[in-house]
Amino acid sequence: MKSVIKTLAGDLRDGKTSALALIRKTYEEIDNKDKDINAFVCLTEDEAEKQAREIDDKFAAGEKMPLLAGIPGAIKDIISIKGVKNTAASRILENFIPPYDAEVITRLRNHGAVFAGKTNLDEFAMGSSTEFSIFGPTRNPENGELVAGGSSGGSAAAVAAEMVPFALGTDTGGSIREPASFCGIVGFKPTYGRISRYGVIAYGSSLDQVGTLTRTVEDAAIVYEAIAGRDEKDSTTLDEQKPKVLDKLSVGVKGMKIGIPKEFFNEGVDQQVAAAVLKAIDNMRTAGAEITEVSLPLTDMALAVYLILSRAELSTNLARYDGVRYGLRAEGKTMEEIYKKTRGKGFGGEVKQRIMLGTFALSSGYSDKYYRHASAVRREIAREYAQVFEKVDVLLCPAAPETAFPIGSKTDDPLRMYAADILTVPINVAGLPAMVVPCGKAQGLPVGLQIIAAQGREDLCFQAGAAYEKIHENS
Amino acid sequence: MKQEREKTELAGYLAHLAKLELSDEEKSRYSKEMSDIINYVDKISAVSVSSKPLTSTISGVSHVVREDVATGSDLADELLSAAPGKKGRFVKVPRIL
Repeated sequence: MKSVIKTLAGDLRDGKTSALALIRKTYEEIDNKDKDINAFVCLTEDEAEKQAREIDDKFAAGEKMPLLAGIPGAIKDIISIKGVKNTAASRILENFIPPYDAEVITRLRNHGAVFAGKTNLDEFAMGSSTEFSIFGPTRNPENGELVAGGSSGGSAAAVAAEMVPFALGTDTGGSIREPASFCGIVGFKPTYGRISRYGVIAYGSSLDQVGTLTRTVEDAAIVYEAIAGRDEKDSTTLDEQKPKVLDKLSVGVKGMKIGIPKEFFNEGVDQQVAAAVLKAIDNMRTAGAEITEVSLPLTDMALAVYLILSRAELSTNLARYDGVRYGLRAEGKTMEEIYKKTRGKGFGGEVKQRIMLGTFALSSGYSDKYYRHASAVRREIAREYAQVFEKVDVLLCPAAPETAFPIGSKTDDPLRMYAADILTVPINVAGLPAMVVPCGKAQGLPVGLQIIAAQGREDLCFQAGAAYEKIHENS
Repeated sequence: MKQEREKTELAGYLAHLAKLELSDEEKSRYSKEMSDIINYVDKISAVSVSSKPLTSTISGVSHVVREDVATGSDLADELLSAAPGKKGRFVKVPRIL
């Protein structure tokens, strides 16, 4: 598929449009579509028009500009933009205005991207449907009765409904890939540590990663290359040279070794979803890839490991919301009373339950059995993947066990909601890069093909993703 | 009944540790949800591990140091202005001692 960003960048250079016209068109689209979708929680029109005018001046002055210059994008409302509310869709941060940009925002600014606004999410990125938000649910652009997926549901819906060419999301257990799958777009989560999280509100720090939501693989590559790479301000970022991905898009899959992890096609996966993915795999074989079945026996343990580690980490990370330095403060006579009232009132139900569970998993008498053991099992899972990647280049499987589900159908049943991430969490647990590319439909709704590579091999995700996208387009 | 009461008591204790004020209805709902989730995650005890718990990041980054060089930041006033209670250049809270 032709890159949306490149097409617009070409139009900007040919004088067919201007950055100002592009951002105004974006707001027109949002105005027309978003009342039914609820992807955006905040629009930054004045600032965006100012940014666009500056870009247009530079074009007019004949400056050589990056591909993203003048291209509108949307940012998940958990990534800080200086001077713009960063709410994490939580009452506790409802009026919080960060005084600095996240590193990914600084990098996008340096590339001239224009920020249209902030997008909806589950509170603190904790959810799989974008229903746990103080702004109400985001609706799936394909069918308004269905969820957009989550937690980056606003970003996914804004891109799928063609309001913006690209959006940023975050992915702790599938929060980019599951909504990308549900909305029929491309979602990419890099290797853990590839992109700086400076200025991104923390959830599960050993799992969180920023990534992209776009309509094409090439768009994902353009945005990824602009934001990836070491940042001194985030000491978990990788030191090594990031692999170049843009020049891998036309390599193809001839001779590529592709593994099919059989545990990702078990009885919990909808048959039509599995059929769509198997057809995609067959297409890759026809294109010259070598397909082999592989086994990752600990797959069944990954969700449990994830539930323990993510809850333990979030209960620690969210301790900072105490009503003292920023955010909501409820009145009280003592500090203890302020803490408890502020947090009781400021956090939503799902977040409170998760904090409680994390507190339990870290409490005296239970931390060995839960937190420490889960952390050791995590290493075994990572080892299993490392061994498989000695034999194959990438793994192909579904991104989610089903298609988008009805709004309200899982909000009262946490374990059923968490199961929506069963095929994405193992990737965060093992710290791997993974891409989701649309691969047809089941029950008339989008299905995503998940392409997983070894740590540090984003280039292989892009190579396979671009090749599949081309095959799918021509089929 | 007794088990139910114990679960709700545990929820109350965890809420205290986590500094969360919860209604009785919330305590009972979260304790039910937590016990379902704990039942589910208990399955990891069946995995015997040779590994020690992770002490670096999952991508192997550990012991990151940098030169001890002071750098400036002009964010202090803006950070202070985000505090819900202030007096001059101080964050104001109730008496602690």
